[in-house]
Amino acid sequence: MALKAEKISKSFSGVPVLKDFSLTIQEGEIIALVGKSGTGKTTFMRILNRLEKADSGKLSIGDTVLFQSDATGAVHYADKAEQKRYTNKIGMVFQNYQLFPNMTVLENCIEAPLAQKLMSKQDAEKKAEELLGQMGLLEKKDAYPSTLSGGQQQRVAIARAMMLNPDILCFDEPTSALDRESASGIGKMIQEIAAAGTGILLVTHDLAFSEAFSTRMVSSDEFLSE
Amino acid sequence: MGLISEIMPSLLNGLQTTMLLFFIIVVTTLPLGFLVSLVRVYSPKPISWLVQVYIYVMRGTPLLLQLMFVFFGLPLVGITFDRFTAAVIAFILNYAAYYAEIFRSGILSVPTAQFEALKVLGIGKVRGFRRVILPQILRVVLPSVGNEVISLVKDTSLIYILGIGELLRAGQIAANTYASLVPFLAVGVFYMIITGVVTLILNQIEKRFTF
Repeated sequence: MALKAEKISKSFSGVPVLKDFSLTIQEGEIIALVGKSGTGKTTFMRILNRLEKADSGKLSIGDTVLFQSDATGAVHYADKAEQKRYTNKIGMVFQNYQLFPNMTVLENCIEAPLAQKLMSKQDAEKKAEELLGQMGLLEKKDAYPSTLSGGQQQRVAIARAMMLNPDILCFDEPTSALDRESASGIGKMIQEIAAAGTGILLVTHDLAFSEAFSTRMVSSDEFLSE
Repeated sequence: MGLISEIMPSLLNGLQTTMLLFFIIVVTTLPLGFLVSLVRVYSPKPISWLVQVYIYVMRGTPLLLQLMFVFFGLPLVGITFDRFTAAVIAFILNYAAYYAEIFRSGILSVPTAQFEALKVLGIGKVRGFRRVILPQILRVVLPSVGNEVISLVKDTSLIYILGIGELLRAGQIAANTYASLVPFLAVGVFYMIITGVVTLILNQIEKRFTF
C-alpha cells in the first residue's frame, strides 16, 4: 500500500520546517530524502511515525488516514484504533537503532507482536528466526545487543521492524555509523526488502548511498517551497 | 564466653527491634521513593517543585534532627506518636527522599528514543515501562540503592536518641552494666553480619540486571 503525505506543514515555535510538503511512497519504491541537517528531513519522518504532530495536511497509508486538516486548516488525528492500524503499517529503524538492551536479539524481535497479541509466541519466534536467518544473525538470537557490532544491531532493528510486516519502512541516517562496505550491505538488504513490496523512506545526508540504492531522490529544498 | 552468653539475650532483643525497623523502612521507602521520583520527573511544574522542596529539606537536615522533630517537636503542637511510630515516620520521610533522587537519575538515564521505539512498535505504555524501561532504570540505580540500604542498617542506631531499645542501645547498657568493651565489639559484629548478608543479597540482585 502506498503512503500519501499531502501538503504537510510543521513549525517549531513559529519557525516553519515543512510547508505544504507532499510526497507519495509507492510499494517497492526507495525514496531518499536528502539535504543538510536541520532542514526538517527527520521531522518529516517523525511525523510519519507519530513522534511529532503535524500542524496541517493529510497523511494516509492505503485507506488508513492518520490525520487530515479540515476546511479551516486545523488538523484532526484519527481515533486510537485507527492510529493503531496506521502504526502497524509503518516501521522505523532509528539512527542509533534503539534496541532494548535488557532483551536478547530474539526477545527484541518478538516483543511488539506479542504486546499487540498479533501472533502466538511460537509463531513469533519462528518468524523472528526466519528474519534473523535472512540477515545472517540466527546464531546471535540469544545474544544481548551490547555484544553486537553496530551493523549487526542495525540488522536486528530491521528484523524487529519487519516483524510487523510494515507497508512502509523508514530509516533515519542508516549509514551514519557504518563503513562503506557495511553501508553497501545494508543498501542491498534495503533493496531486497523493497523488492518484496515494502516502500522505503531513507532520511540521509549520504548522497553517494542515496544515488546507489534509492529509486528516487527528494531534496529537502522542497520542504519550504511555495 | 560467660559474659557473651549473659548479654546475648538483651542484644538479640535489641537486634530484633533494629531488624524490624530496617525491614519496614526498606519495604516502604523503595516503592515510595520510586513513586516520588515519578512525580518529580513527570508531574506539572508546581507539584514537581513542591517535591523538590520536600527532597531538599529531607536531604538538607540531619536525620537525627528529623527524628527529634517528629518525636519531641510535634507533640508541642498537639501531634503525638509513640517512639517507634515516630521513628518509622521520620525514616520513611528521609529515605524516600534519598531513593527518589536515586530513581530520578535512573529515569533520566534512559534515552527518550527508547520510549519512542516503544511507541513506533505499538507496545503499550504500561507493558513498555515494565518490560523495557524499568529494567534499564534498575540496572542504573541498583549500586546506589545498595549503598543507601547499607547506610540504613547503620542509621537505625539513631533511634537510640528516642530511647528505643535497639541493638546499639542494648550494647551500651550491657557495656555499662559489665564495665566491658565486649558488648560494643559484639554489637559491631552484629552490624557487620547484617550488612554482609544485605551486600550478598544486593550482589545477587545486581547480577540479574547485567545485560
